[in-house]
Amino acid sequence: MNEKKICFIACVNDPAFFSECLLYIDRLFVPEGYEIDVLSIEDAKSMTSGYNEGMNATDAKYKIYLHQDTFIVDRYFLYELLDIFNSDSEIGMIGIVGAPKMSEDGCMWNNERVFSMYGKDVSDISKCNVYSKPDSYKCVEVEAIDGLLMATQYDIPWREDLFAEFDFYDASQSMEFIKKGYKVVVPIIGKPICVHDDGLILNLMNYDENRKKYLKEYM
Amino acid sequence: MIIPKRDEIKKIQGYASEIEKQINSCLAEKVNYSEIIKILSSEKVQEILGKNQNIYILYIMSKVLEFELNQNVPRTVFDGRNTRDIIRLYRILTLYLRRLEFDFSKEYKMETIEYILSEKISMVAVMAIINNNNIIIHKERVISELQNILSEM
Repeated sequence: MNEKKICFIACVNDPAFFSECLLYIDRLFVPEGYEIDVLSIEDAKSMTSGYNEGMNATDAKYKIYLHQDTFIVDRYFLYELLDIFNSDSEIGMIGIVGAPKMSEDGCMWNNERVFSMYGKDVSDISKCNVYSKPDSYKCVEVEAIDGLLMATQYDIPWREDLFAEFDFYDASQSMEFIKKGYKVVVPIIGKPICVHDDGLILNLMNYDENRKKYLKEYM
Repeated sequence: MIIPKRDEIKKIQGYASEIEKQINSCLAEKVNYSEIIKILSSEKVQEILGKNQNIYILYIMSKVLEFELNQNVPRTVFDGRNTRDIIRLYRILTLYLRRLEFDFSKEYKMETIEYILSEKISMVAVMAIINNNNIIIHKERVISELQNILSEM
């Protein structure tokens, strides 16, 4: 395991969107001594199988699983990520949007959520020329994070045995980390981290079926 | 959020396909603008507007079309395109406009202009898309950047 490597992993079915996503990754400031890598998984049967493939294909300790339509606008994101992971070894996974308490119906959007992204918490970009590490980060512990961006410092297999499509892989993986004794958190750092251009209206054809699987397995 | 059932989603997709088919028939030969606007203002569209992404985008583009027609733009966003092209144009243009929003280098900002020119998108349409697009957060910044680049050309 390369402790100085950060790997972005994305399941890709729209090269135009992923190329754009890469432009934002290329602009990120990389902490000294670290290297970054990007893996794109094309024609994945499911998010879980794609992410497992990516996870096993890299020796990077830190992995950032993100959607091809997630654009990281906070150029100091990698600094913040490493600071948060290094502050507490019990933090296993970091997200951008999350539910402190999962709703009883298994739908993350039906309970209070916390977030650090545009579209939900519109605020001005704080123009920082130099990274200044705050004294502490406020991190909210959550039961589920949204799949738009999920960063890990430990590897736990994604449940492709249970979730073979494109829903609930995120809520499931959050619970897998929690079951292993890790914390899943959303940092509140006072500025938006990314834009998620997912078209606002989702294709939820298989959502309900996977929701029921999630409830049966975890609730 | 009301958890959608598969049957309901299929029904909505069926309506959406039908609406797209009607619009495409208006685009086949000479574009029938008034009919397109009429279809996309209908009650049925209003019913499914928040439930189908393609219809949502086409609805926004019908508003863009109205702006273009009011300004007598010679080539509108609907000319020479089918519904899939129009939806794709909206999404790709949004990607390019975001580069102006988040201060990319000049090289990348110029690609935004090149896309607008190569796709023959009117400035009326560009402005209308910026103003009616709720994923572009800093609209004034995008408009200002656009004006700056164009003034340098």
